[in-house]
Amino acid sequence: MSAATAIRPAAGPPAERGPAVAGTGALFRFALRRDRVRLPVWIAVGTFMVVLQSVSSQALYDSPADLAAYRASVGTNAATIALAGPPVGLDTVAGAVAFEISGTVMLIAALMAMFTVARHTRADEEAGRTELVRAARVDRHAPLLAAVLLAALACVLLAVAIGAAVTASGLPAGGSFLLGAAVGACGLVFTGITAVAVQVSGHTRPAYGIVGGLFAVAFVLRAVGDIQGNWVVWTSPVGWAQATHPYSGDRWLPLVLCLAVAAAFVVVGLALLDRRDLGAGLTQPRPGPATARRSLLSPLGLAVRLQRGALVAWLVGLALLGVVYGALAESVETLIGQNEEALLVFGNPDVDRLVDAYLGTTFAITAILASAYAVSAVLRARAEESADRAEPVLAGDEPGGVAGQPRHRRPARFRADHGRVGGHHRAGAGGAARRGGGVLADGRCRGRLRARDLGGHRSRGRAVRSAAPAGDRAGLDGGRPAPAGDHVRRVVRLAGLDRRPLPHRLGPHDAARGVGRRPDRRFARRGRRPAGHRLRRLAPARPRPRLTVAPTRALEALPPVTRSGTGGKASNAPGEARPSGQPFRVGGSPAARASAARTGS
Amino acid sequence: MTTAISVSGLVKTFGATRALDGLDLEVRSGEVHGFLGPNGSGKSTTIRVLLGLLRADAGRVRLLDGDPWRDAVALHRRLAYVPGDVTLWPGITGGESIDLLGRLRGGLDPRRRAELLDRFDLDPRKKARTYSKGNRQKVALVAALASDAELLVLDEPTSGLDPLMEAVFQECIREVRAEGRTVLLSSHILAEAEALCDRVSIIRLGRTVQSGSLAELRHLTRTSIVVETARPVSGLDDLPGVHELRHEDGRAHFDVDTDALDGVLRHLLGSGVRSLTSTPPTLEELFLRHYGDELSGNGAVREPAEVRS
Repeated sequence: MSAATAIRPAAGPPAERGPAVAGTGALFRFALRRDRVRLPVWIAVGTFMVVLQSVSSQALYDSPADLAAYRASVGTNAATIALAGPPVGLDTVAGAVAFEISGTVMLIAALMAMFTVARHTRADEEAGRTELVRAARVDRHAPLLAAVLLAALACVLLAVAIGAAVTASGLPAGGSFLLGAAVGACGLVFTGITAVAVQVSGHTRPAYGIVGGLFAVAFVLRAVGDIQGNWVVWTSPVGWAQATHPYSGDRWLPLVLCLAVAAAFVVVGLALLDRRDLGAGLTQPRPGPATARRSLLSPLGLAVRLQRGALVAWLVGLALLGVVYGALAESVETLIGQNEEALLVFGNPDVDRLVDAYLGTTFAITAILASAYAVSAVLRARAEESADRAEPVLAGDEPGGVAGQPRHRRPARFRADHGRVGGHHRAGAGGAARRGGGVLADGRCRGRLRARDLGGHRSRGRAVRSAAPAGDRAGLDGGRPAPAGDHVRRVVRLAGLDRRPLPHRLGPHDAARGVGRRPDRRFARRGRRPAGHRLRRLAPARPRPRLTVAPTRALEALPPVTRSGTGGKASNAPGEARPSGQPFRVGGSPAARASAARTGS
Repeated sequence: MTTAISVSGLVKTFGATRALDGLDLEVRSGEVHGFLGPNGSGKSTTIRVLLGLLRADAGRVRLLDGDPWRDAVALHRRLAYVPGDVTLWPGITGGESIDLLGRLRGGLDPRRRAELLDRFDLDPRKKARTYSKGNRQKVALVAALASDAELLVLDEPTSGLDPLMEAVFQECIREVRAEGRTVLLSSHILAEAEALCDRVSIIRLGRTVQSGSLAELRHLTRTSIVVETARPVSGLDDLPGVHELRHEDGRAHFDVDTDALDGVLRHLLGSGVRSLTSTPPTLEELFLRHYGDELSGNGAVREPAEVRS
């Protein structure tokens, strides 16, 4: 056995255990390398949004009178408070900036944390990469620790970037860094929540669902607390982060709460990791049926089955949201009644109309969320392609299904089926209906045009980029004076097309007058043209999307101005919603998430 | 001879499914041990328990004199693993993946890495998303073989390789054995196990049904014989251990239980043997005899006793 001597002796007795975090460093560096583009984009988008808000607010509220009117309108508007945050510090421009943007950018931070942690833990595990890694000298906690460290680093960098950039834009340094820290702290809490969610669920998508759902719950709880001005705020991580009151109270203590809770979640996640097998969640899968039911035996049936869970979860979530918003309607009257300043500015407002305006806005928010679902349903088709699961379906020979289509049209049919599931959601989604329909039409349309590049990258980007704006087209189409259309229009403005500050977008006076009926003179005077204006001008000429091919083709031929739609504030340049030339990935594109972040707020 | 892997009475359940049901496995240091069984018999589950990726519900598991769950990190310094279905990071090149895996394991020999890349004809500059299944498999194989691990755990490592690459793989495993390293090779490709393995364990439904050297296992099986004799052989039917006898063109074809071979040959000598072909039992036949009940569906079900485990 002379050859055996060539082998190096083992590094130490086998009983010696490795350090509990062995491999974390190497995995962290590797994760950093994998996300070297992704994370800077997230951070840049978040920072840019705050800076943009800072610059535009400073330009708009250059006189004390402007600011006073702003304060009066915001302090009485339940919808604004529900969307933004606690109405504090509104006597300064800086406070107004924090009020308007903090909620949105906290969502960005939470999504960044969620995608970062899940991508390096559950997604790798689901794909089988973690098995390869953990067979090496890597502690079982190391992948989770590395992912948490990476997400934490991103949150810290986002905090610092926001602090520095907003200070540079002319706001007080102390408050700016506190605002950044609050955003980062919110991200850290959701880092922790994701660390637990990826242990609970055996798959990535449900983990996203858990975290996204918890963010929605947290956001609604803080909205309830802020509108009623009570303790409910303190049940929500978003509420804690916003309770820092940057530029006014400058309270740092709530951040300690965030950090403690984030750390506790990570510890729970690590403990749960010890209690489960690789690749498994906390529950064992139960056996399912041995044979397929008839309803499953078509591409559409498969799409329905694959999306069943998400569909039910969204429906339940939106119904609950409706209950909460409805229950808050009473608070609208109380708010306006209490605010003397508002009575001074608006005279004696018609309370019923204010409540209507509030309810309209909440429907609009629900509509945005419903379209977020529609977008994700269409993107699922793309995910199926990437995972090579589309191929056997497309190769199938099921009559009346995909194979009933001419060969070049099969991928289109496949995507349309996924889109159809998204579209079915519209039944209960009010204003979302036409958005969903539009996305569906677009999914089909894109599918047609990109029929032959199954697995290619280009169509991936295009699907992401175009799906949401198509929803806008759908929402704005037809020139019908339907109330739902009105709401959607306002939503589009809320979603970032309209750069005016919040009260102008949905202040009571604005809402009572019928928002969006007229071009905005203020911008016309300044020589700027809000994207929403162009949208409205174009809107009546647009055909309503249908499931037939011809109208979608007509949609296709439209100029790409609407593309900037849900690209959001960060990418408002017409026709360009693709930051830093990064190719899009399904469920992975920063811009897609940014747009999801916009629509989700 | 020391023992590299020692497993007894291993049980692992997933919900209501009993994936491992009292499995035994013993791998001696320095041998290539075949781990054979049909799909779903529990090979990968066993290997994952051995790697500390799954926690055993019951039974005793020792790997390189350590506890695979508790001492995972220390033990993994001394072993290398190739999963049956290799998934890599889509945006990372094959070469980077090899280096990462090597680094996480504790370093690899760059000279050996280059040599293996050459032998397996693998382009390390391609991103993993462009690799075929076979090429992803090669990435994991190169990372494992370029290491100095004293134990290689290979879970159906050739499932995506073409015959040419399979030959390269077999060559590599022979070199590894010559260096005195231990290999646990799970497979359902019997030719591969026959070509490489010193000993094999056959499992089925989460339980070991047979274990031993190929010679030992062959002892339990039948040899196929074709004999041409001057006079027609008679009375073969009456001999113990003779099966499936048929006569064609003056030749007798039959299978004989290996332990009855002597008596049969003595009987044949009386008929004037002109030519005799004896085919040693292949692992394939061995396998079929063990899993015949499953492979033949509801047809000829063999009694478990016949397996003689």
